[in-house]
Order: sequence, then structure tokens, then C-alpha cells
Amino acid sequence: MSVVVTDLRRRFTEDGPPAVAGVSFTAPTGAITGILGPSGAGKSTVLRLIAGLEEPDAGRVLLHGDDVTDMPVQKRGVGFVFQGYALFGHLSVRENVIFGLRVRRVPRKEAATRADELLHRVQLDGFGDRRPSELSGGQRQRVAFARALAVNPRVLLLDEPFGALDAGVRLELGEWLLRLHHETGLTTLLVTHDQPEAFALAEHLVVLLDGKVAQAGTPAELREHPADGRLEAFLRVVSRRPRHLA
Amino acid sequence: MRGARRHGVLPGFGPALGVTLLYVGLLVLVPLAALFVKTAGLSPAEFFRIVTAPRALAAYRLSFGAALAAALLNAVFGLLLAWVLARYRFPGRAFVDALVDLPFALPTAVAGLTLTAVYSANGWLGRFLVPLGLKVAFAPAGVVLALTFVGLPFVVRTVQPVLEDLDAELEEAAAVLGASRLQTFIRVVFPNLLPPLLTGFTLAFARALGEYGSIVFISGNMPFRTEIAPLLIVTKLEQYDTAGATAIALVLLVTSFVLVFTINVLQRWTRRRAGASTVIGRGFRLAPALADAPALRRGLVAAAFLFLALFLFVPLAAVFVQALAKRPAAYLAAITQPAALSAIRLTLLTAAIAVPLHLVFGVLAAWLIAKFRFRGKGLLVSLIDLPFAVSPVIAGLVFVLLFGRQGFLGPFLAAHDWKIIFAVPGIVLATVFVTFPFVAREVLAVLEAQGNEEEEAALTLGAGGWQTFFRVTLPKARWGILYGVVLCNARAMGEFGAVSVVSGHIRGVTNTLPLHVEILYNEYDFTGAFAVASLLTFLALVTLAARKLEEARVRTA
Repeated sequence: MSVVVTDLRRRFTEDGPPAVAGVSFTAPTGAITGILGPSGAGKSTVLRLIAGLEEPDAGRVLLHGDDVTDMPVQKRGVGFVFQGYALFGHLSVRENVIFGLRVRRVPRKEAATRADELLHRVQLDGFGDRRPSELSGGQRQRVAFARALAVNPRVLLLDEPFGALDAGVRLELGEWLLRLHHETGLTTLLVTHDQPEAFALAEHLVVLLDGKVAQAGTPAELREHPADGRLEAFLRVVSRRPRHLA
Repeated sequence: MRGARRHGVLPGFGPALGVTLLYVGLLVLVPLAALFVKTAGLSPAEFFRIVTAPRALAAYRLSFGAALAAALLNAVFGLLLAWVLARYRFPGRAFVDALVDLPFALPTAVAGLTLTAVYSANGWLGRFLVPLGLKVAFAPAGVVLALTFVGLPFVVRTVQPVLEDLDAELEEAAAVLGASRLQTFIRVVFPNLLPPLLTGFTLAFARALGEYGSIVFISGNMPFRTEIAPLLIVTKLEQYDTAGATAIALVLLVTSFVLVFTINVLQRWTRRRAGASTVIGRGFRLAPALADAPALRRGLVAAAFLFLALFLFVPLAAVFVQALAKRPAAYLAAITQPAALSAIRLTLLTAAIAVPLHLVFGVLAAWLIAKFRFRGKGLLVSLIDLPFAVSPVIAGLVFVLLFGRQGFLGPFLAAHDWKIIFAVPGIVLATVFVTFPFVAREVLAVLEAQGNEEEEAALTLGAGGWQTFFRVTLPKARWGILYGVVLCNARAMGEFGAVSVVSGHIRGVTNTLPLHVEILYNEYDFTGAFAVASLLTFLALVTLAARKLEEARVRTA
């Protein structure tokens, strides 16, 4: 019961190196798994392959034991928080949150009640009638979370969820994410290039380098026993930076 | 310097504003004011009687009805074309993308001529439609056809960029949340396309309402049946009923004001909507999981091609086939006879005056609007756009009201033996009016897209106002300027309605190429008409090539 990927491969150009070159790992149920690596390592592509937004050239994706590799994105039941939030600008915050329910033909009243519950959970009570353009970056981020959670996803996939925010808001939202995760217990995959963030939030880490898994394990294991020199170099940055999130 | 600081960091605000206001005032405001002053000479009862006469009402009905039908057709097929061009890659895509702009560049007289030839009873398509009871040429359907042609690019060109900039994450987010492709289109994509779609619809409607050149050829011009409002203005003018022509013109002009205002409001809405939906614009690249089914894709592309074939490809091909239908010698003879050569000379002369004038003042106006903040900017933009929405017939009429024998300045001109109307100066003035917005609009779009940072950098490095303008702004905008000039040139050489009203049609003296096409057509010299038309069509195709060049340069820059 978990997210399992086996030997995932995806190539975007004929001649260049593949974006994802045989990635296998297991993300344990109920935990936050951080997918960490420098930009261009294939992190986002792996997440998009798990969501079904990309089709793999090879490899399998298993969600809680079900092979979903050939299942369209609509059927996979994943919650995805995009880097740029991708809130629907023409809809109110509430309409954004219940979008997934409305397309499943949940009656408007029932959906609206659920939206207000979720907005309460993400601390946006009373914001339902606003437009996304009227919200701050951190507020938009939380709307994106509420929208992803509304459909009761089997897993939560976060693609650089704090990437567009400034440091203070990142810190606050990181703590908020931990509390939220504690409440929901959702199996969560968090893509980030920010080592302190990954070490602070994730219970399990997968480090990608050049489209391959360089090492996987708990933050403690990675810190004590990095697999090789290159990985050590990449992770060393962590100890030098103030670990404000830890 | 205090003034400059208030309106922005760049110098040159005062002179630019002064010159632009003078230019707009003399060439747009004063002529249009003449129309209001002239109408004010009528008593309200007289005015009301003229504009509600049965023949006038029939003309409005046809004009508004056909313009509405054409704009609706363009909304549906323009959306289809924009979707196909933005989302699919198929053989001939670049060709189709370039040719969509043809109605902008092709003189309306040529459009009318070739559509009439293709859809008349013995034409390429008419011979199949007429036996089915579908009479197109010389019937109201022909009016709708021609108006659809002239309005074809608007919806495509307003919707397509919005569709291309729409963040792929929006559709992915909808798919992740379980929406089907159709649900995604209806609930996510379409609401984003609604503002540009309405803008394009209104532009097409405004353009169709004033159209004259193509209708003269295809409608048959029968009072109460196929007579449009602009044609009624011309008819009244030819019967020396200036007051009647002016009253009808005022009705159309006020409608144009309302439409231009509506368009500007809609464009602001489009910009607001586009800015609010996403944080990071990524351009369009959809995951394979979200591509449309191949059958749907093929069906939509086929539908787009069918529409373009009926409205664009076949009429375009007909120009060249008809022109060369006889021996090449006949073609050469048609374009080298003295009347044709004289028309070519006059057309070139007109463009040689109008285009440089707009190049200088259009760039200046664009600089003013893009770089400075000041009150009344929106109004100024609307005034520059106005000649585009005003019927060309009205553009001609206002100069007759000013400079004609019965006009405000008529006695003065007669006393000095100066001739403007039915002479070359009138043709130049009418052309300048009609081509007013093109350079300013194209350059403005380029300048606004580029922002101010480079100019500010130049200033910090010690460049003065003119240096910044010539060394930074002009080079940045040069491809936009080139296209604005080429488009302005195409419109200057192809203008029909405005020139027709002020020209007097004196063969060898005041005949431009588009007017010459009409004369040959009326004399049943079809080979000659198509030969001259093919010259103008060639010019239009060169204009489209220039646009492609500009786009390629902008993309690689």
C-alpha cells in the first residue's frame, strides 16, 4: 500500500539525454516522500508520470497496489498541486475548490458545503466568493491545496508547491503542510530542489541526479551515509545552510 | 522636467502629445465634425423622416442583418480555425495561418469581383448551388458571403493568441480533477476564450457594417432587396441629395462610435482575464495524455479547410485563373493600356504620400501612448481606431462636405480655382483617413509588449530622449514598423469606397486601380478586370509574406 514506480523511462528529444532514465522507488503509505534533486534532474517529469500527465516510454506506476500505468489521468484519483497553482481565473475560490466535485456531478449544495469545510481547513474562511486574482501568493497556494483535497485523492502530488513564494511564507506554509498531513494522513510526494525544505518536511527522501535515483532513504540515512562523492557534494549544502525548518 | 516626471521617466512627452493631437484633430476629428454640423442644418422632423424612410429602413435591415449573420458565422468558424491553428500541427498549417489574413490585405473590390465570379450562376461554385435553389450572387446571401469574407480574420486573430498563451496547467488541473475533454473545454477553456471571442465578433460586425467595395460587385444593388446602407449613402450623394446622404451617414457613424467603445472595453476585459488565471505562463505544450483524439482532430481540421476553401482558397485561385484565362498577350494588354497605366500611377502616388505620413506620425503616436501615462489616453486610442470602424463611404462623404462645391470650404476653393474633390488631393485625403490606424496600431502593440526597461537602462547610461528613441526604441520595434507600413500600403493602394466617393471616376485622371477594376467589370471586360485585380492580389500576397517575415524575426530575436 504505497506509491511504487518501477524502471520509469521518458525521453523528450530524439538525440539528447532522457529526462527520466529508469527510475524505481517506493513511497511509503501515509508518509511525505521528498523527491529531491537539482533542476533538470527529472523530478517534475517523474511526478507528472505518476499523475498520468505524461505517458512513460517504459516502466510501471502502482498506486496502493493497483497498476495505473495505462489508466488516464482523470481516473487515477490523484491530487496534484501545480508549481504555478493553475487556479481558474474565471471562477471564484469556492468554484475552484468544488470543480472536481462538479465534474463528478456532485449536487451544488453538497459540494458547496464541502468547499466551506475545506476552506476552513486551509484557513481561508470567508474567501469563497473572491477571485484568485484577489488573493496573495500564499493564499492562492492554499486554494490549490483545497482544490486538490476536495476529490479525496488517493495520493497527493506536490510539484514545487512553495517555489513561487518568498522565504517567510515558505516557512509558514511548510509548518502548515506538516499539520495538514498529520490530519489527513495522505500519502504525499513532494518535488523540490530545496534541500532544507525536503529534509525538514519529508520522512523519506529520493534524490534524483540526471534522471536516475542517486539514493533513497530517510533524511538521517542520507545525511550520515551519502552513497557517493557527487551526492555528498549535493547534500553538503544542507549542513552549511541554516536549517530554519528543522 | 517636471512634466516628464509626472508622465513617466522618458523625455519628449510635450512635443509628442502636441503633434499627435494636431494630427488626429486635423485628419479625424475635423472631418467627422463636419458630418455633425451638416446634419445640424436639418430640422429634427426632416432628419427623422429621412432616416426612417422605408427604403432607408430596408437598407438598415439588410446591413445590420447581414453583418450580424456574417459576424456569427465568423465567430463559429473563427473559433474553429483558431483552435486548429493553435493546437494542431498538420501539413499546410503555416500556409493556412498566413492566408487567414488575406481579407485584411486584399482590396475589397477584388474580393467582390472574385466572389461574384465564383458564386454567380455559371461560376465554379455557383453552378452547383444555383440549381439547388441557392442563389448567392445578386441576392442577400451574397451580401452575407462578402461580409463574412471581409470579417474572416478578426475572430481568428483575437482568439488564437489567447489560446496559445493559455497555461497548459489549467487543462491538466481539470483533467486531474476528473473532467473529460469536453467538460474541460466547456468549463475551463471556453470561459477564457469568451472575451476575445466577443472582441473579434464585435470587430467583424463593425467592419461588416461599413463595408462597401465588395458589396457593390456581388449584391446587385437592388433598392429594398440588396441595397445596403453605405450604398444608399452613395446613391443619395450621386443624386445631389447631400442632406439625405449625411443623415443616413450619421446613423451609421453613431453606431460605429458605440462599437469602437465596446471593442475597447472588451479588449480591457480580455487583458484582465488573461493576467489573472495563472502565475507562470508556460506557453502551450500539452501532455500526450491530453491530446485530442485523432478522429476529432482530423474532423476539425477538415471542417476548417472546407470553410477556408469556400470563402478563401477558391476565390483567391479564381483571380489568377480568370486573369490568365485568355492568352498572356491579352493579360499584358489589359494592364498596359493607357487607362490602366494611369490608374497604376495614381495608386502609387497616393500610397507614396499616405504611407510616409503615417510612418512618421503613427510611430510618434505609438511612442506617446506606450511610454507615457496621461489623462484621456483611452480616448486617444479610440480616436486613432475610429477610422477603422467608420464606413469608407462616410470617410469619402466627410471630405465632400468639407471641400465639395456645396461644402464648407467650397466657395473659398472655387474662388482660388483649387480642386480637391474629384481630383487627386481628395483621393489622397480620403486614403489618409482610411489608413489612419494601421502603423500606429502595429507599432503600439510591439512597444507595449516590450516594456520600458531597456529605455530606462539607456537613460541611466546617459542617452538623451532622441538617442533613446533612435538607438533603443526604433530598433526594437523595426519589424512591427515594417509590417505596419506594408499593411498601411496595402490598404492605401486597395481602398475603394472612400476613394470612389471623392474621385468622380474620371478615366485616366482620377481613377485608382480598384476603381479601374470596377469600370472594367461594368463594361463586361472580365479579362481586363481580373488582370488588374491580379496585380492587387499580388500586392496582398506580398503583404502577407511581410507579416510572416516579421513574425519569424520577432521569434528569433
